[in-house]
Formats: sequence, structure tokens, C-alpha cells
Amino acid sequence: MRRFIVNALGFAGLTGALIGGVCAWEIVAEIRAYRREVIPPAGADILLTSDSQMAKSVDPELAPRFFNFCANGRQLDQAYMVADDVIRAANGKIKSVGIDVSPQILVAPLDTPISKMEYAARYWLLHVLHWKDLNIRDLRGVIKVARDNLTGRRWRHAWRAVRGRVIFRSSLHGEYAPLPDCTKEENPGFYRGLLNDKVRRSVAVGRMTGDEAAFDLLAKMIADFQERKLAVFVVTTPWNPDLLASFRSGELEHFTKLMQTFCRRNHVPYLDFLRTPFPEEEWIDSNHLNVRGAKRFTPMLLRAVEEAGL
Amino acid sequence: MLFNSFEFLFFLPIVWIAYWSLKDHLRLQNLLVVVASYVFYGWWDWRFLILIAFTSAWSYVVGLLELRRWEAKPSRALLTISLVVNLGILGVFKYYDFFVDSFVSAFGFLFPGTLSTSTSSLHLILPVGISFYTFQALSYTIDVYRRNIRPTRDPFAFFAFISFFPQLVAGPIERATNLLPQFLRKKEFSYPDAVLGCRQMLWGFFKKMVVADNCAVVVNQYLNDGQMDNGLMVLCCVFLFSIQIYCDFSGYSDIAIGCSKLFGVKLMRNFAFPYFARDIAEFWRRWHISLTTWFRDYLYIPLGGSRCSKAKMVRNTFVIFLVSGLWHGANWTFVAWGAFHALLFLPLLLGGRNRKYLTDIAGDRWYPTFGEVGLMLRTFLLAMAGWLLFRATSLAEAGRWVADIFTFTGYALSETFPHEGRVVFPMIGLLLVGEWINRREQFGFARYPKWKGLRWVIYFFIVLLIFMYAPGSQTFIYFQF
Repeated sequence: MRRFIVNALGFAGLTGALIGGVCAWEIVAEIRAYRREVIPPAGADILLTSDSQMAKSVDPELAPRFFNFCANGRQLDQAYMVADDVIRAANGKIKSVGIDVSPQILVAPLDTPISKMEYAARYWLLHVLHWKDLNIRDLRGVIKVARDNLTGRRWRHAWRAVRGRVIFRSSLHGEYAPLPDCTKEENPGFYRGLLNDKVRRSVAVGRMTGDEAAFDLLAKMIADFQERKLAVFVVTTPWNPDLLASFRSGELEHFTKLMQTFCRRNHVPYLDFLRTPFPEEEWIDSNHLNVRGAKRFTPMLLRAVEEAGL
Repeated sequence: MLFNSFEFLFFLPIVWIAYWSLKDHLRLQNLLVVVASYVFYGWWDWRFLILIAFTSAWSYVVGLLELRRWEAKPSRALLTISLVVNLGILGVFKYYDFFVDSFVSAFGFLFPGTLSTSTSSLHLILPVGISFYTFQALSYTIDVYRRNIRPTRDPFAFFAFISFFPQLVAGPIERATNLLPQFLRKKEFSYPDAVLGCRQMLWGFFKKMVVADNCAVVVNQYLNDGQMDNGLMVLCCVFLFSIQIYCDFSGYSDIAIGCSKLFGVKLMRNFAFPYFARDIAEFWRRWHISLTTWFRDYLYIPLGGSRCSKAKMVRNTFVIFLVSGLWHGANWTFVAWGAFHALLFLPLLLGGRNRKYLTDIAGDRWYPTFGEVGLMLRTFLLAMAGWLLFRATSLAEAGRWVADIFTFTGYALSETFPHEGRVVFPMIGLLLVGEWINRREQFGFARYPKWKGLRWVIYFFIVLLIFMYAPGSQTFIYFQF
């Protein structure tokens, strides 16, 4: 039995080392790739930060001023993190930041284990590699967040996040993601957008439960970018009329009113394209344009940005 | 608790260490097995423990009552009561809603306004593995009645026999004559058995987590959609489902058998490479062996088996296959699946050709002949046709899929064929090679290189495949039975 235990422990140890090595290699590769991807190309001075909506609806080839970098987690804190990285990597080249805010990004919870642990792992690893930027207070906060997420059953999510499956390369599209060209009828995922009852419920008239934190973070992002002397604007990308129709009367008007009030208070322009009509064949699903739609929307957005003096 | 979960990764070593620490205290060791098994089973839902405890206690008491009259003739009344209670529990939890819904669908028009499925059904949650442990308990009471085994007075050993966690929720369905005596005697740790057990578990995890789960991703994505009218994708998914159900179930059995070896317990073999079968009769000798032999010994033979008139042979065969189908689930598709296999099996039985292939295919040769390949392919295609019925949620859906396949509707490989689909075919190739090489062994990874270094490289390779290509935790298909 001793021989079995020794062999078993040896095998487990070597397996752990092998898997750890694979994970470390993956994480380092992801971080290196991410660091390359956050550098905007020459000529890009407007950063668009959002989730997949912006990634699919804007074609940077048509507007080289745009640097379209998206964190596909539908979470504002990830968008903030990515924008911060791009601005630092750009070293002064970025002059404007456009934050995409749709009803769904406002209701996505900010404190999911994946979001925090991914943030913690990335922030920690990046700061270890950039030791000059290490901030001891941030470090303690990061360790606390990491520790919090390793309790209970969240550690499984944490493990996946550390392995880089959730957020790193797979969902950081940047401007290198090819824009899809099929129409919504060809896309089996079309109907899923219509079932997003959570969004509908949270945009209900008079109630935005759970989203106060999102608005606070949005305000913090805007103040931070303005402090860095960047021009900031908020934009809402188009939604398909079928999805818009699935909301009750007044709900989306309430959302628009909220955004207008918020932007007025924070002294930023609000570019609202939520109800901008596009032909049916220019949609890939209920809330994403395809390549044809992007070709129409991109100059529209650029014109609006330039007219706002940004 | 699932085998492929992190909880099990901690559970197993702790139980194993405690188990062998108590190797000189048999009763305590059995008690540990019972406690560990109940923790394992109760991890899903602690309420399930009430049912398994009752089934165990009831069967134990029936055994004791029979023991009191051991020298006398066995009590048919006691056996009948035991069967009624055990099968009654199974029937209520598993089949009540099915039969009520079927009755209401068929005859509800006669009683308008009074009969409806919403008011008549119970909507009970089906306890995990109820079919397995109920049949295991029944095997005990029937073997006691037949005087094949002496009832035990040791409650810990008996409860351990019923609830032994490796085989509790998805088999193999053990016979009391095989498993119970193992809990009544002291066990010694065997290094070769433990290593073999670990290797079998590793192979089981590969089959389940890499092959079956990746097949499941593709199959569920397309077949659950309900909108598909692409015959080629239906065919592809039925093929992948055939692989999925084999790897899922036999993978679980490998893990269960391998895990038991770590505890010095020998479970019966449950799969003998059924897709290498040359005809349907051989397929059924190799597929879910514990269930098919259970039905053979406790239903088919008491009905007269094959030693009766041809009419009765046909009747017995149909009964076995229909009951086997129904055992798998409360749906007419399972009954249809059973009937389909009965129709395939009967010509062989009536023609006296059901025991034509009793040896392993290709003998000592490394490769099969073209004829043998043809036979295996034919059997696989027939089994695959049956799995189409098995996978469908209704007969209408099965009919739609068959229509899509044979009308060549929209025959094209879907452009969104996911990454997992492209991963799974090389893994199926690896599985095929491994199982072919080991077709004369107990499982697909029984033979190993003599050099330890190479052995460990292969182990690491399989672990890496599991780590990199397991798509995420999926339950075992047979848990729903």
C-alpha cells in the first residue's frame, strides 16, 4: 500500500505540475497577446469601449479614427478596465472615449465571481510583470478580492478565469474580430435576444434595481477619463425593432430619459442610436448588426462624433 | 456527487484512507462505506436518502423473515410482498405520471372536464439511480427466495451492498451472490488491482469527459433545437449520440469498476465492446451486461426462456425487450426502442443463430477482415437506428428525424458546426484504436507498455486531453434512469 500511495502522490504531483505549467503558459500567452492588442493603430484617436454590440456594429476599416476594443462580458467594470489599459498603452494618442451603454450592460451584475477573479488575476499578473507600476494599496485589494472568490463554490469559476477561458483572448475581440455577414434568419441565435426578460424587467418604468452601482461606475469612468483630459461621450448602439417591440410601453423611453439625464449631469454628450432603423437584412440577430449594417452605422457614428466636436 | 467533479477528487482519497485504516474492523469498515455512500448520494438531494434507506431496510427485513424459515419452503407471499413494495416505489416515482398522462391522452375525451394531466399527475422528482438500486435489492430477495444466497443478519454489510457508492447511481447492477459476500469478508489491499483500477478510472474519465461530453455538446445543440430540417446533421447527431451514450455509460461503468478495485471490491463487467459485435444477439451480450443478465435470470427464464414453444419464445422475447425499454424511461420512445430491438433479435433466436458469435472478433489478428468490418458496421447501423428512437423525446419527433434523413432534406454540414464537433472525431479515433487493441481485455486500457516511463507518458497524455478538451461538467445520461 505504501508503494501505491507513493506512486499516487508522485503522479498527482507531476500531473499538478504539468497542468500548472500548461495554465501558466496559457496565461502568459494570453497576457502577451492582450498587451499587443490594446495598442491602438496609427491614426486611431477615438476609443470605443463596450461589449459585443460595438464590436459587431462598427467597422474600423471604414473609420480609422475608431479603435474598437470590446470586453465581451456585458459588464461595465470590464469595459473600464480595458479602456484604462488602452489609454495607458496608447501613450497620449487616444483623445476621445466612447462608452457604449445599452439596457443590458446596465443590468449585468458587477460583482460576479468571474468578473472579479478575472480582474484580480489580470490586474495582479500585469502588475507583477510591470513591477514599476505596482501600487501596494491596489495589491492588497486585489488579494482580498482573489481570496473572497476562492471560498465556497466560486473557486471553480475563479479557476476557469485564471486559466483564461472566460475573458482573455476568447472574448476580447478588439478590432481584429471578423465582422459576421449572415442575416438574422440565418443565425440560430436570433431568438435568444427576444427572451432577455431580465433586461426588460430591469428597464421597467420607475425601477432599475441593482443598477445603481452600474450608474455609479459609469460616472466614475467618465470623471476619470475627463480628468485625463479625454473627451468622453456615451453611445447606445442600435437594436432590432423586434427586440424593441418586446418591451412594454414606456420602458425604453424611461431608459432613454435616464441616460439623457445622467449624461446631462455628467456633462457628456449622449449619442442615441437605439431606435435607428436598419433594413432587416442588415441584422445578424436582435441586437447586433452584420457587416452590411456596420458599413451603414460606422459613418453614422463618426459623423455624430464629429458633429459633437469630439 | 458526480465522478467528474472536484468534490469527488477530495471525497475519494479521504474515504479510501479511512477505509483501509479500518481493514481489521470489518463492521466499522462497512459502516464507513454506508456513511460515505450516503454522503455521495445525498450530495444531490438529501431527501433521496429516505427512499434508499427504506428500500435497503425493507429488503433486509424481508431477508431476515425468510431466514427464520430457512429450512422450510420459501415463502411466495413474502417474495410477492417484497416485489410489490419495491416495484411499487419504482412505479410511483418513475411511471405514475407517464401512465396517467398516456391514459388521459387516450381516454380523456370520455370524461370531459374531469380528467386532465395537470390534476391527475403527481410531478414527483425522480430520485437518481432508483432503477439501479431497486433492481439490486430485488436480486437479493429473489436469490434468497431461490435459496441461492443465505440472508445476512449484518445490517452494515447489507446496507453497504445496496448503497456502495461507485455503482449506486448507474450500475453495474450487482447480484447479491457476487457483491454481498465481499462485504462479509475481510479484504486485503492488492497493489496490481489498485493500479488496474486507477487505469480503468482514467480510461472511464477519458471516455466520459472527452468523448461523450463533446458529443453531447453537438448533439444537444442540434437535436434540442426542434427546428432542424437538415438530414445530414440529424444523421451526424445520431451517430454522435450512439458514441455519446456508449462512452457515457461504459465510461461510468469503468470508473465505478475501477474505483471499486481501489477498495478491494470486484464488480461485474458491464460492457464488452458492444460496437464490435457482429450481430444484434452478440450486441446484447456485450451491452449493459448487468441489466440484460438480470432480465434473463429473473424474468426471461422464469417465463420459460427459450425452452418452450415458439409462440412463448416470441412472447418472452418481446416482454424482455419492452420491459427493458420501459426500464430506461417513462416514454413511448423507449418502448418503441425495445420493440425495435425485439424485432431485430427474434429472427436470430427463431433461426437458432443467436449464439453464432461467442468468441472475440478477429481472434489473435491485429485487424479484422473485410467481412468482419461489414458485420460490425451493419450491427452498428442497426443499433444507431435504435438510438434515434432512444434520443427522441416523442415518437413524432423520431418520425420527423427519419423523414429528414430519408428525404435528403437540406443535406449540408452546418456552418456553425462547433469546435467540439471537430475535436470529437479525432478522440473517437483514439477511442477506437484503444478499444480495438484491448478488445480481448476487460476494458479499453487494460494492456499497457512494460516500460514505466512510457506508461506514465501515456497517463499524462490522457490527463492532458481531459484537462484541455473536457467541455464542462455534464451529468451522466443513465442517471435519469
